[in-house]
Amino acid sequence: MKLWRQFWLLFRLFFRTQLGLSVARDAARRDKKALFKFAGIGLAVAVGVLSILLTYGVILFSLMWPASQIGIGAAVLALIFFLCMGLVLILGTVTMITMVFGARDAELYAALPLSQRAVFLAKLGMAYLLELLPTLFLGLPAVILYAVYTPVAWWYWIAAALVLPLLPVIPMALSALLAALLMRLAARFKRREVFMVVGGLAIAVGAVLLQGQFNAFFSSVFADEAAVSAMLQDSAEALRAMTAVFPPVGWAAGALTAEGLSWLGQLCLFLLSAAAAGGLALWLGGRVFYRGALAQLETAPGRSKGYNRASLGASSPLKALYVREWRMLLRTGVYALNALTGIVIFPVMLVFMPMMGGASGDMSELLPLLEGWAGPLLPLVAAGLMLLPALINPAATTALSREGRQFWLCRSIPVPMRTQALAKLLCSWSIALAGVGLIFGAALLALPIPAADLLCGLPVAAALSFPVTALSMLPDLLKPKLTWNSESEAIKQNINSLTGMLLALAAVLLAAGIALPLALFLALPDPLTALVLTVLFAGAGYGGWRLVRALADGPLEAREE
Amino acid sequence: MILLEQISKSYAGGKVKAVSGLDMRVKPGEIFGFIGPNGAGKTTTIKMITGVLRPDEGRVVIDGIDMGQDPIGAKGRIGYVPDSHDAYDRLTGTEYLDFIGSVYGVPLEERRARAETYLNLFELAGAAGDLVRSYSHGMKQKLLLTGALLHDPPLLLLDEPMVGLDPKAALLLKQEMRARCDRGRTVFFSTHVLEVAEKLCDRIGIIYGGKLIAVGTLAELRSGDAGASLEAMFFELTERGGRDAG
Repeated sequence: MKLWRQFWLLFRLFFRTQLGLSVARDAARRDKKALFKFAGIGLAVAVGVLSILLTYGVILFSLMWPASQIGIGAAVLALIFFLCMGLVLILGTVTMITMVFGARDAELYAALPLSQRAVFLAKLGMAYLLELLPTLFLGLPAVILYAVYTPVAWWYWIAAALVLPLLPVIPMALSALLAALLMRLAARFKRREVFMVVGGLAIAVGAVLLQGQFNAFFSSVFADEAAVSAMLQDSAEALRAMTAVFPPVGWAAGALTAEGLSWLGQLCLFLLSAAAAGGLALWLGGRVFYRGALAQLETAPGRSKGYNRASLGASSPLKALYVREWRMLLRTGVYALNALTGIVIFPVMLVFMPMMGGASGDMSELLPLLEGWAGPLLPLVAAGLMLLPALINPAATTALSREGRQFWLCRSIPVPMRTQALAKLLCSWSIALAGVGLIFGAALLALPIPAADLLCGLPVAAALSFPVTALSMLPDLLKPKLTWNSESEAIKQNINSLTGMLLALAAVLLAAGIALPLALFLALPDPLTALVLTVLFAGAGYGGWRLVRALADGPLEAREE
Repeated sequence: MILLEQISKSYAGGKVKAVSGLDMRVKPGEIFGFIGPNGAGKTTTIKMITGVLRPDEGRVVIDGIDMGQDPIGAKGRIGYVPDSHDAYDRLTGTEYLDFIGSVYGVPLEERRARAETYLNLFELAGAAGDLVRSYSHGMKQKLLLTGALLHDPPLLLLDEPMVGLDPKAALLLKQEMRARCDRGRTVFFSTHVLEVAEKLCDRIGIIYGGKLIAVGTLAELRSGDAGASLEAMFFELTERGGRDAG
């Protein structure tokens, strides 16, 4: 079979599976009600996208119109292209790592008479399609609005038709190279999960630090009045500043907005750079894809261990379940990554953002204001900060879904479901507690909040994190997603993650709504207020556990598979 | 040891009747073979016996304990190996056994002694420290068998236990099944391999279309035709069952 025929065959397959078209069609065929469900979801998505598009359009209009009046519309267009490429770089890295580095289907395709170049090309094509959507979403309105407010030549639309679809190519090539590098390392050291967790956390931390760098960069640019004045007077100056950061952005914007014949040169430069980057990614990916993907299926060398008598130790069912929960969580890359990101990211943000000109300025201005307004407010703000990881706790929101095909074991072991649910709750709470502790440490180190206030907030946050965790578990206990093909599906493509987080957020807002007036009404010294709130939230924790227990004894005991 | 009284189970809101009004009794010290074509209801019945599924009607009693009344007590008397071989992939073999030992409350010395016995018997001791995800199909089956035997259950329930096992392990398993029954324990297993059922079982039940169409010793099943093989009887009974249903 020719390369392009193979590519087309695979691309259609990926298109149907990635977008869930086959599942939707099958469900609709089996049950007519499912058709309405999918139509409803589609409608909700369309309404959501349209409302965001409308909001974005209004923001863009309010930016483009005055910019065009003073002759710097091209700078705004370049800024939008810059955003498009940055977004694709972040989203594309996640997509490429999931589709290429995290590919579970490599073994299947390797056994078929298909060239690895065709498989990689199809995966890259699918990833490109997924990234093209946000690019068009952001870029197309900007291209249209620019043409509305600035007189454009005939070639503007030709250049736009060439540039816009190719905007994702260069950042995607960078993402593909990163994925290829990860695969090469994982193939060499056979530690795929470790690379996934460490690499994922590094990318997340890197993204935060990069954002901080951008903040610092733009702060310094805008601090320089002469530079700002030059940029406000001349689009070319703004384009030069952006080209210095990332040249293809300048070429892409220049291809549409440059005067004379120089647009042609800029267009050629952009097309050549896109072709070179895309070609390099294809060439490299086509050579190392199978080798990397299949090597990941191998186990690490020299690790085979025999039976060790001492490793068997007696423990209670609850402890055994709790330990098993932790082991499964930490040893499954995508679980560990999702469960630990929150407790890593928030402390990193707290520590590094102030150093890069981020939140510290606002915080230092805000603190005296808060201190002057009410005594117990600062410990409550500190407790709220410490609770951030508990709000985004996928370990809790997908606690039961992660059992998947192993749910038969939960059903067949002689341990009540309430004990199994308690083990899951304690494991998830441990993560929330670790988050509380780490943010406490980071705040102590980096934020201008007095240590006494942080200390008062600590037990309040620790106590409140228990009912918050319990509440965020409820949707998953009620309706777990036990049928999935990849672990990523269990923890990321799971609606319970979202509903659980919303419940957690509602719980924290409710707690804040109760705690603040109560603290003001009591007018006690801060440590005593903290004690009262801790006892109150511990009571709420008992209520949370009762809810979990009720679901475990009821729907969960009755659930079969 | 096992008492099934008029158990029924339907799927898809009652549209698919998987098991219908099944009555059965398995005595202590028996090896009971459960055979039937694909989709006959074998796995559904086994899952109802283990408590993984709940019968829509009827009741399941294990060693005198009603599964509906005291599921924890009843489950504690069963060692179960499913046909799917789904174990916790991210645990090592030893950790899996330790987990099973803890949830079944097996004392430490007994846990160690039995783990060693069965890991050595199935030649799995060398890989016990590795993650289950690195195991082959047969190794997972051996680990699940070791886990099911760890608490020395009065009832061993095996769904297609020979699938994936190498000839030596299959022979050892058959010997272990017989040895358990000699000690008064009970083994209930489903199989597609009629030869195994013929040679190993004290009694055999044949299920077809969710109904038990025959049950008894091999001699009882043969009735008039003393020379008939189990295979011949199986085809005759299931074809007759199909005609009756039609």
